[in-house]
Amino acid sequence: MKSQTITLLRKEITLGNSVQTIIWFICAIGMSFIPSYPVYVGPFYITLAIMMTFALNQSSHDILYTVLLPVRKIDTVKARFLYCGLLEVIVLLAAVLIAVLKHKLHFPQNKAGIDLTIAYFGLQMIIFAVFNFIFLGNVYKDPLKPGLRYLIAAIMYFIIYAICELPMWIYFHFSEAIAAGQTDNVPALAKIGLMLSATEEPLLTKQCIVLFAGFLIFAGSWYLTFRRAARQFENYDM
Amino acid sequence: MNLIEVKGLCKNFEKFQLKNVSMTLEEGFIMGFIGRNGAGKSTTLKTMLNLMKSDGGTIKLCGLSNPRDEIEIKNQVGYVFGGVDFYPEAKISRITDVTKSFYKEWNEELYNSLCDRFEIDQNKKFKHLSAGMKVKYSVAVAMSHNPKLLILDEPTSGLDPAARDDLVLLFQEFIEDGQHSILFSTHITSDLEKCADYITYIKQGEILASTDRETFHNSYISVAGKKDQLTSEVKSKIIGLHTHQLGFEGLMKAEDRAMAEKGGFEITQPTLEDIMIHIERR
Repeated sequence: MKSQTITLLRKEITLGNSVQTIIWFICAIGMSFIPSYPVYVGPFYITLAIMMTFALNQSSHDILYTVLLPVRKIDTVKARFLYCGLLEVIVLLAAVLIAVLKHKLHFPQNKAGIDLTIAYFGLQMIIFAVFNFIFLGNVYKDPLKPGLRYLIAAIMYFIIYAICELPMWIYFHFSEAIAAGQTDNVPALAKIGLMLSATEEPLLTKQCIVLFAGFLIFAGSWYLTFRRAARQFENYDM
Repeated sequence: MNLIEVKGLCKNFEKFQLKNVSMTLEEGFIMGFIGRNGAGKSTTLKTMLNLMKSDGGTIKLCGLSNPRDEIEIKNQVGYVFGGVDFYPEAKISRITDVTKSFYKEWNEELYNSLCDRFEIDQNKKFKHLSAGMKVKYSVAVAMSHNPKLLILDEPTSGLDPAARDDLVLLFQEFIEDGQHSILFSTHITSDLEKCADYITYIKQGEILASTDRETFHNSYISVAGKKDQLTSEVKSKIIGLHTHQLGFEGLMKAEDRAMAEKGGFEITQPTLEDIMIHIERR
């Protein structure tokens, strides 16, 4: 019996909460255009879309409907993961387009935190990885009760966001000293902030390492989280 | 061929156990699955469908083992869960389009004829259908992938008598070729009086009886009498004894008919509802 994952993914899109998802998606993208706005906040709206997919599906009895279809339980989890992963990837791809657009239009530099640099994409993928691990990795213990798991995952999202932004904030504090070449008393974190915000070589190579590491962590977390969720759902009694 | 063969099914919860549930149903018949709320009807059906993991026993549906042949079973069995609104905001046509894409077989002609028969407007949103229409739509979908067996969990609860009658007629048509069967859980026993060939009775997670309707009916007699006729020996034989100012009434096993006759009690044939009420009163 061939896997029904793609048919299930189509079901997620067709019978899912498309209007809600589009609204959260517009929020996620739109925030990137606000001058001096923390760019990690925009993609947070996508995590809301993911949570609402579970929450609103309670009232539509989506889980019961799906497991009654001639599909394996693991395929239903796989399709939901593909759907959530797709939302995250689309937001990241949209951010790439926005970064290009901002560059072409000479948008002023972001004063609230990191800009849409190469490193940002790596760090955003790490934030998504942590969110996925905590939310998607636990929600299948009882997919009808996503609230508390989302709350914990959302708090972790902002903690990791703060950790990722910390070098930027310290860098902003020491930016005049760095610009004047007085780097002796500048903390290492400020130098990391300088690297993360750079738009030119040689620091771009280091940013590419951050991007690559972010991709590996995102992909690894996605796979491990999926296996964990599939195991939980197998043992879940409807 | 048996379309249902359940043997020794067990499921343990903290405060409730399904104990050694067994039943069989041949093709061409309707089995009513009765018991009061919380007796274990839905748990049994969900465990049979692998929506809940069983803690023991074997399940064969349409000759296939569950959970081993789960996907093939789902292709050959149609389900309806009464009172469950799937995708209330979606249009009927959209739900059907998605649903049919999962099945190996889909009888579009049958689906359309059932929708016409029940006057289901496919452009309506699910939430805009009446309670009766929702169940009829669910039954139409369940029947349109050509299942051999229908498993219905309280499909007629909350429906008016006319809507219930429409469904009962459809169920009878479904099995009349002798190759299809229906397992039908309900506590509306009058529906079963009209269509069930077999009755399986569950109480507190245990099967009290699983037999043909006539035998089940004939296993009990309703008795009534005056207070002075109610001896301690009679009391011990009466199921669901109810005493009132004028006397008493209750249910007795048919094997105790001689005692009832000797005592001069008023004896009548109980309905399924009478049997259920008295069994649950005990």
